[in-house]
Amino acid sequence: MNKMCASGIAMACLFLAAQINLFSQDQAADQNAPRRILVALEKTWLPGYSSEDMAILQRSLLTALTGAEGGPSPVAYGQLKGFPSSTKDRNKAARDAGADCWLLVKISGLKFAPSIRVLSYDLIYDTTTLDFSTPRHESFPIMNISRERWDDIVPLVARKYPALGPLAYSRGPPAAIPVMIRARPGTLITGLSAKPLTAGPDGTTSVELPSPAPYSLRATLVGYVPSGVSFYLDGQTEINVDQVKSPWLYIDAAVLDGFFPGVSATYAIPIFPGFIRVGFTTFRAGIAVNQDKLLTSLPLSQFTLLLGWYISPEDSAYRFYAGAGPLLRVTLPPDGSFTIDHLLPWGIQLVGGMEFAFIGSFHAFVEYAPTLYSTPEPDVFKASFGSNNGSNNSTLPYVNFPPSFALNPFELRFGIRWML
Amino acid sequence: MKLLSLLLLSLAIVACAPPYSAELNSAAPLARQMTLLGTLGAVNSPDGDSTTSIKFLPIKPTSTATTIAQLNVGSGFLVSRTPGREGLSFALQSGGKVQTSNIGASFSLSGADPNYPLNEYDVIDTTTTANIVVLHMDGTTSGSFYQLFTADLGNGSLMGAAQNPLGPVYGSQTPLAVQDLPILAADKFNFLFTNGSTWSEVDASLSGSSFGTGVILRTVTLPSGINRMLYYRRADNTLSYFGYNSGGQWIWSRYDGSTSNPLSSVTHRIDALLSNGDLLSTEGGTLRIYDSGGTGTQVSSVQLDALQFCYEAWVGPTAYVFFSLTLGFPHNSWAFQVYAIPTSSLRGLKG
Repeated sequence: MNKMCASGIAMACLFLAAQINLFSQDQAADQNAPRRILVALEKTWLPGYSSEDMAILQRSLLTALTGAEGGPSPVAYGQLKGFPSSTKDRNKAARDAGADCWLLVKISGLKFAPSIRVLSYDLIYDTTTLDFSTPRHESFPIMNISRERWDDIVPLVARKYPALGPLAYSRGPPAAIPVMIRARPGTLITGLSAKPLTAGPDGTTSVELPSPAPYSLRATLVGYVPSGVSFYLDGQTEINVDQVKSPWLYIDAAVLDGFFPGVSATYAIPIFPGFIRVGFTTFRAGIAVNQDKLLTSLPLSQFTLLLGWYISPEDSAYRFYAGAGPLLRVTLPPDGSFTIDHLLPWGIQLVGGMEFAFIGSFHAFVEYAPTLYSTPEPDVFKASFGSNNGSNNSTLPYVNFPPSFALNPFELRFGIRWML
Repeated sequence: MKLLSLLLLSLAIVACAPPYSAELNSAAPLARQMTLLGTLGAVNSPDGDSTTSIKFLPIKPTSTATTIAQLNVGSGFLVSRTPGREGLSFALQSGGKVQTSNIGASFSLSGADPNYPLNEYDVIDTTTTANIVVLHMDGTTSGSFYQLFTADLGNGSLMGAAQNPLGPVYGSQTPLAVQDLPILAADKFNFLFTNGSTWSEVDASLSGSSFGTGVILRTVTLPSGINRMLYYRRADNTLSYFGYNSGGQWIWSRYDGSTSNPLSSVTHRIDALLSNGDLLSTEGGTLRIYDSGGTGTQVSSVQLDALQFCYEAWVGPTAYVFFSLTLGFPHNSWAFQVYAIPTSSLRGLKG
């Protein structure tokens, strides 16, 4: 009897304890409040989408967000146009709407293959949480645009903004804590302190930073691509900086003017953002509107040497550069021998270029390369553009500079650059 | 879309082939050893035909030019060849524009023997006009004729005199060959006529637009049955050179008034007897110089490529050989350059 009674009491205690524990958990869950997110939808220059379409898309996005389990509660931004352009103003718009984060969805591209850019900011942690583009290979559901499910966006938003407890909204003042930055020895780190930090031989440097707070640092080291790291310091003591070696050799495949093909090799000088390039372009095959046939073949080639300088940092999305150098035109005329071209034997080329990431280690580039040529045969140069009733035709796009120079201000070169 | 349109427009502007001349490049190694006397162009094709081949014959130096530096060739005759015909026109560069005069002067190539020129274009002395004699020799008495053309150097207009038969120049015989011999004072024409059994070396001069009656220098014995030959004679009349093509092989001989000696080393067509006694050949686009003594040893050979032999002419006391370069450009457009080299330097040309 006593045994049975003791067992019953023990079971009752266990049951009671379990109930208390469950109660505590429920109470804690109840204390976590869902986030409120201000949702704005924008379209860039986009044919085929009316304002009504955009309103329907916004509604479908709001519906999808509302249905996302554990996600934030959406608040619609009232205007389809005019979401503020700066983060500061967007944050204000979110606060005015009673939200603690915002989501901006920008739709661009053609209707049958739209591209969607997603931007989101967390006002509580003062950090950008989402910034990506997602291409669509098919249009939004035709005939019923409200059926769009936003499957590639809404789950991400829901994960980024789980419900938060009250502490998240009422933090005490930040307190300075020591933080170790790990980077390659010699790396210069800026953005965290008034004076730049330098990673020591052991690949670390330390700094005291108030926490919690958002930070951005920039790490630069000769021979490595500069890198920027944004983080929200919330008690962690170590920040790692990923650094990628700078490519030192670039191989270009490009077309010049009338799609005349060429290749070039660039040696990027490691200690400063200069480069040396040797290039070769053949005029054996190309498209030209100033010839008798659109497909043109000339037994002519040119070699170029370029000394250049990158104006933009290596990690810029669009990297600009400039340079100058000589070019030499060579020819192998029919039944003739390999020789320097007699009409325009050499020139000086100025180059202004821009490159941007394309795929993997391939960059795309476009260069404006006005060239001044020397011509020992100015009369033949002018005559080579043909005759209109005995008068020389216009030499455009070339401009004749007496006594013996010709300028082509319209030379363009574009192609793909393989960064090795 | 706007960006794409802008890009396409930019590409259309820049999609141009660079200026280039294959002829200029192929001729450059040789042309650099000569003096450039002028560039004329651009000129639209006289025949509007992209398959036209054109030879530019600059006007002869005037007697007032005593040095090559005083020459600036800005006009000349255009001999354009289209299938079956040759046309003659005149081009004059004036005020940055090339004026061409085409009066429809045209000569048939029907029945032409590829070994001999059917029509010979001899630019003669420039006076107030530029002048050229066209001699059509088809191996017959009745079919051979000549015609003088004159071009006004003021306005560039071309005029043609009447076409005259060549037979009456010497006893209604058959003209076999003619040589336009440049001498210091004027051009002299040396003819070779035959009546079928004897061959006569004949002098004739232009008087106005017609040849006067020819004067026989001497007779010579040549192989019978040949109705076309090439013939050159020295200015002092001491030596004559005869050549004919037999079964694709050129046979040349030298005649000194009494004895005929074979020039067995000369195996190509001869286009001129130069004032220094050298024989010049441009057959197949190769410039060959032969010593006219002995067996006619070849002393030099270079590729002419796009350069074309025009004539030898005197500039003051110095004889020069003139070449023209025809440069073809898109849209049936042409330009021409004229080069000269002292006859005495011709042997030294390096290819």
